Amino acid sequence: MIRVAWAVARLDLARWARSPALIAASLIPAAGMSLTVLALTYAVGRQPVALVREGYGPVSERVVGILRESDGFFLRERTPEQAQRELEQQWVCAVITIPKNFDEAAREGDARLRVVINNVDLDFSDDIRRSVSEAVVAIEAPELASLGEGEEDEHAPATPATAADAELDPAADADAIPGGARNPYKVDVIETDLRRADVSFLAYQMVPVLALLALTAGALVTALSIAGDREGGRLRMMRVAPAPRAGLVAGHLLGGTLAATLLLAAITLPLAALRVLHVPSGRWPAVAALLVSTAVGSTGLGVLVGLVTHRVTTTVLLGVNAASASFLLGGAFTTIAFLPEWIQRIARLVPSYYAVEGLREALFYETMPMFARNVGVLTGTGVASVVLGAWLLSATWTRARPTRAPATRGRRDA
Amino acid sequence: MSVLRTVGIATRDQLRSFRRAPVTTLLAMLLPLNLLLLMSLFALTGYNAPTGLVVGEDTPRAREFVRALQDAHNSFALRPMDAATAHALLRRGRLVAVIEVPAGFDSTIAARRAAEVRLTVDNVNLDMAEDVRRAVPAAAAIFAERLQLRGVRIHPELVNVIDHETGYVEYLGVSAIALAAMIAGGLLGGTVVAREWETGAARLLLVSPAGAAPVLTGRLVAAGLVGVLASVATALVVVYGYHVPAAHPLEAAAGIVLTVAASTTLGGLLGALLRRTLPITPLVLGIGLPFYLDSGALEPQRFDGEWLFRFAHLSPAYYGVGVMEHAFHGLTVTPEPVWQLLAVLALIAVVPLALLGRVARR
Repeated sequence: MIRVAWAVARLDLARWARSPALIAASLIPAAGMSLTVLALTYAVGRQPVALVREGYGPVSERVVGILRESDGFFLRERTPEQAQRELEQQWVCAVITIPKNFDEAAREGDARLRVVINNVDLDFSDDIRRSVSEAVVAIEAPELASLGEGEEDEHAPATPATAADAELDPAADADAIPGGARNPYKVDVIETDLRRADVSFLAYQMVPVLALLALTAGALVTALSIAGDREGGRLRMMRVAPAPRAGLVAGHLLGGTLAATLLLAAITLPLAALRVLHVPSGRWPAVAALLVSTAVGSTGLGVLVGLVTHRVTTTVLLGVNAASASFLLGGAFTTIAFLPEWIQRIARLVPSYYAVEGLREALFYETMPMFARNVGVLTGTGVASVVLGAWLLSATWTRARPTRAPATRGRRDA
Repeated sequence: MSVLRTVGIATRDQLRSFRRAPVTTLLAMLLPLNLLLLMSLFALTGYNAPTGLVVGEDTPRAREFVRALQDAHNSFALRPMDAATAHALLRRGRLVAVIEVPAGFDSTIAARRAAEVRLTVDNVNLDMAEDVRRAVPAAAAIFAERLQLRGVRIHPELVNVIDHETGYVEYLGVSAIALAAMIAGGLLGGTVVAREWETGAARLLLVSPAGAAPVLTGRLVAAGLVGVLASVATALVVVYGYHVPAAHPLEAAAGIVLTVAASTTLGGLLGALLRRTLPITPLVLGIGLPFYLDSGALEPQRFDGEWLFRFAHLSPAYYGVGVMEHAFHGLTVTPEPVWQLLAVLALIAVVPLALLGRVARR
């Protein structure tokens, strides 16, 4: 059986290596998704906002300084007419106006920072609202609005230091906190982060792309190989060959796993060398185990797709449907744990869920409580696919077995 | 035989082919629907970060602060729990943050001092962590405004350009109709044309008196019809499943038909260039998804910068999304007017058809 499996695996690998179309089919979806993640990184980043300055006092000056430093938007100073035009033509998504009497109004305790938002959808308009609120709070309670800004900010002076602070902080302020700091919002936030440095959106979202690579290389290539055998009539020949069915299926699993693992290694190692993928020290064995078991699980899925479809076109479509569903349900562009429970239950049926969860745990978390389960489920999927695949193959061949020809038609059939 | 008649016969023949392979046709129609549902998952985690809420006292000011957190621009999905559970869930990646309002919160503020709120963030995903960090000051501002705390001198005055808010799932769902049209059209168009070469029929077409173009056009018309069907199915899911009625139904119909037509002919051209069916689906999906996200699918595309904005114009998705968002939500997400978007789609549909015959003769 091992000899048969190895022969089939070698054949699959050779076919894959010699077919540019198959290599393209393996690489293009993952390359496309990498570009997608890059596009998303832009989309979830800063937003362009126009600033119209009509007031020029010290308080206005400070507000402008804070708005410029905000990492929620790119600020462009414009005249009111320019700002209106750019808002209409979508060069900016909001216009912040500092009115003429802003400083006097601030002294009287009722200054208004006018923000006109192109509220096309809630996601980015809420981003703007949050960033503006944060900037406004930063004017009077800088410590409250500097969350996540690192140690140097933690020791920023709590007492007013500039002319604008003096404008806003008369000595007789009834709200002054003992010690001199002034926080009219009456809420102080002490922030603790789970990890020393923030993980970038790109690094976090690139993990599922590795799972997709395994899915396309393992699942799609294996499925196509089996479907190609069927369409080309080779599967019928294998039926009469003295080879165990489990060996044939295991061979496809081995071939796909090797192809997917080679491809994953070819992508992962350069990414790690370039520091795009940062593997914590001591975690390489876990990451390698997860990647190999992801290849096994994905290939198992491919074996089943290949065995249930009869035409290459159908195989491609079912394979791509299965791969994209697995990719997105596995946690691409999202965190499955944050979704409604019923979606989480569906996601748990998909092998890539365990791959993405395992890889994120290994790369970003201190402990890996789910490591054994994740590797177990992924490898188990591969093993189950061999059993199920062998059974499917037997069932297909039993159905296809020709019935004994009637005696009267014997001569014609011969 | 007139060209139109040849086109008609090829269309009927291709439709018969689709009927003969119902599983393949159904899978081609299922892919866009699949993508719609799965892209919605991304939108679902776009806001309302799951946050553990630990409240040490049940007092008016503590309740008011919790209310302010809830109203802080769709930032938190607050889940009340005890501190140990909250931190355990946070460490396991089940929560984005934990907010702890301590006992004595009310009395501290009553004594005109600032009460300390603890925020623990799982900064594994910068986008969500930053949303939470910005949302807490926003909640503090809402809290101070509602309690009319003295000393807050500067207030944001938020004015919306559009008189209604559009949820992220609803926005993305509508843009996914354009994705459906693009993917269905592209892969069906590419497959039917490439198949002519795989089966060897292309050689016969080249020596026929009418040439290859009318037959290939007929194949593409059939592919387009099935593509429209797939897109309409996706649109119906958006209308009835996501409860997003079309504000301008005729515009929506025109948008679907022209986006499918443009994508089908582009797919056909791709099929004629590659002459193999195998790479068509991965290629259409691999190119289609990045273009879709760079099309105004998440927000007006110009907000992401001039370079990405110009790049977006290369794909039918940009024009399709522009038409769909206007047709369904009445939103203007492109600087170009809707008629112009439709005209460009029509142009994209025609140009590859004109090139198809020439490419086939290569």
